[in-house]
Amino acid sequence: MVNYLCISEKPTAAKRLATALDQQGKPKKLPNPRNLAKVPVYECRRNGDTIIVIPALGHLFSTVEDSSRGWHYPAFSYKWVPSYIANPKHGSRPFIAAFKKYGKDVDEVIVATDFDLEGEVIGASIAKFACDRQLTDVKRMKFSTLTKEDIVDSYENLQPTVDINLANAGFARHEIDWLYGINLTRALTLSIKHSTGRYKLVTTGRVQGPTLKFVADRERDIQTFVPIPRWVIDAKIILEGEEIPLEFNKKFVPTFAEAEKIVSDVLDKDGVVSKISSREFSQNPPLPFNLGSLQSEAYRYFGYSPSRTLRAAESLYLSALISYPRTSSQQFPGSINLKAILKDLTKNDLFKTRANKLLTIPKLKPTKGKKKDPAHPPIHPTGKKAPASLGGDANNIYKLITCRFLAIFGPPAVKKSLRLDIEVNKQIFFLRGMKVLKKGWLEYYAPFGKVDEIELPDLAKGDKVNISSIVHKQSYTQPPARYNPNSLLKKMEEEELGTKATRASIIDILYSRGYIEDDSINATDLGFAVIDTLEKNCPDIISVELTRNLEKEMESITTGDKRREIVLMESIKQLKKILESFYEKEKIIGVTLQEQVQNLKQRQRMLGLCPVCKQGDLIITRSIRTKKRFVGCTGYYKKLCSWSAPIPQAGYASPTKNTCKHCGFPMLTIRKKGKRPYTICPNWLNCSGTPKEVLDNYQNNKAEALESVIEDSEE
Amino acid sequence: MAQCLVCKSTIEKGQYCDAHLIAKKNLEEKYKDWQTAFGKLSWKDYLTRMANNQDIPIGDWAREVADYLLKKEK
Repeated sequence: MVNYLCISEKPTAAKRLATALDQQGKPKKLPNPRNLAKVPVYECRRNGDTIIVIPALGHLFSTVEDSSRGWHYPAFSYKWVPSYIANPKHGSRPFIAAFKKYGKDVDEVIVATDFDLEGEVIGASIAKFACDRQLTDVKRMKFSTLTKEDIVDSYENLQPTVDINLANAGFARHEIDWLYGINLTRALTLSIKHSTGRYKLVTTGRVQGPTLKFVADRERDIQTFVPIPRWVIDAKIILEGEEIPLEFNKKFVPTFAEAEKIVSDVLDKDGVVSKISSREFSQNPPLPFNLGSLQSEAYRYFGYSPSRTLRAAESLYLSALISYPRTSSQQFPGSINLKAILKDLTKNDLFKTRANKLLTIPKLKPTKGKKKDPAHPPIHPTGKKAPASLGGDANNIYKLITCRFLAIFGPPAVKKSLRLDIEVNKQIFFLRGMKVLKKGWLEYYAPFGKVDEIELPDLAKGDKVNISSIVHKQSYTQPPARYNPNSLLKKMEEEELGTKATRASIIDILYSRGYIEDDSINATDLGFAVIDTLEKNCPDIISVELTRNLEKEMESITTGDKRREIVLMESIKQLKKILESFYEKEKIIGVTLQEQVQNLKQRQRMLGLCPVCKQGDLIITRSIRTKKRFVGCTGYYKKLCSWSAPIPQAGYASPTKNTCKHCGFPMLTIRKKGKRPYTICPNWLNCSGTPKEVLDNYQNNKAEALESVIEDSEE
Repeated sequence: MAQCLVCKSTIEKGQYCDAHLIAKKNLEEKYKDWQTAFGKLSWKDYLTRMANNQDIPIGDWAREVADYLLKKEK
């Protein structure tokens, strides 16, 4: 008879583990003293053995500085402590106490957290620091789903130790991230403090900096973009009373003269169907989902951000409806009984027909991608019936995962693309068509992967058609698109920054720190200030290459090629070099950073040239005496111009790029929380465009009168 | 220390801050393409379009430079 302590990652998972491990399926919830009351502790009986299952609450241990020198850099000494010491608000105290209480009496400790880098660190740190065990003595349960079968199977085939290389890689990642985060943040913040005496907290991290640089670089390309003109030929024909647009042989015409010539060649001429061609092609079924492709597809169909998709997928995993989602694998191992999963899916009305149809295929073979992940298979449904209460994001993601799982077994889809050429005075136009000949896997992926079929009109070669209209339209080359959370995540993946588990949260951090904003991601002024300053003075901090190399070094601990201590020493050496070069330029960096912040504030106030004196600039400023906001001319300081006007006091005022069409004054926009932004002319008191009622309502110098009238007119 | 002619931000040397310098270079480079596209287009007409035509998808910083250069021309 053996007594085990089983470490689970979360309370939900602990309950599931305990229910599966107890032979009766009814684990006993042990009563706890008051200080452990919040911790669910389960006792299970199995084959005469006793298993105590206790959940963690994410990371129960973390790193803090091991020094009493206060806020300084470099800071290289650290220690592992309970998370409630690092962060007093962290609720880890009773959980650590529970592990200590039960850990001392058991024969064996089993780590049953998620089998990945984070899970290994959570389990290994509890076994080491709370239960006082050597990692070589700690057993490991390895599973990819929280179904009873998988849990029992992993218990009966316990790994002799935790994955020590993986645990070491996880410890090293935490330590290196802590070292970089704390030192770089302190260096930036103290550079401002030491050089200007002002305190402004500026944070950055090992992966955050390079990721922010992607966004800032893209925004710079957009803001400095100058387009090139080009023309589109827009022609139409009328067939059976319906107007049908034609495509011109060239998507864009580069010069105005050529566009004019094409229009004059075609105008008032008839066209002839000169060629009808078709091409059949097959489209292979998609690859199984890994986390990246699931996040991408969920953004495409539901507009979910990567972190939202991950949250939904994790809740499905904890409900044992899908396999572990943090995987990069695109290949199913032979050990998974895919046929059994399909059989289980036949019990679900939504997938019944499709699953049954697949089961008639004698040799089921899923598609297979290049990416492998030895720890977990691709994301797939477990076959367990989803409860009727499953709703919202989880329901959508579950359907997407299950439909994809069905589609990977389907035959290729066969499509036919059609093209009908119409020649008009030697100029070629055409119509495009598309037909699905065999649905193949598309049938299994429905309602996803829908193809819009386009039929061609009933015309034969040699038929005449009348061109009903032809014009050329000017267009322009377009600036590059801004990143969205999904494309930024893909970029990080391409550049090998962060891990599949951390990328989404790094993007969230950049939002929460105020460095980026909006769904169509834009670097904020603060984000630009940080990147501009670091690019000029300490480019290593935001170097993609350095960060990528460090990722590879950490990966080499996982594979056993390098020792944790060596990688740590090397990264400290690299960080030391960065900090030394930073320290040499600390004063310049501090002043520049502060100046950048000031310059940006200045830009946010500047409206443009004063139309009255034509020498000064109009700026949004405040009265020293009354503290009220108004627009005035900078010529005032040189006694050149005394023009000024009141503006609304509430809301955020910023310059627009437009000038007033009535009086030529540069305009400004007022943004108020919960209200639609509105644009006003600062010269509203004398502008002919100001509605009469504004001037009638204008009393006691209150420009707020503008707001009410503009809102009315907008409605 | 100097000031950027366009945005008045403080710069170490030169006439433009980094952002407006890139924008100015882009404006100058693309002028040739615009001349080719229209056959004939004066520098002033080009700047007028860039500064005032809201349908042209020019970046804000590039438009600010065009606006500044246009005012300088006048």
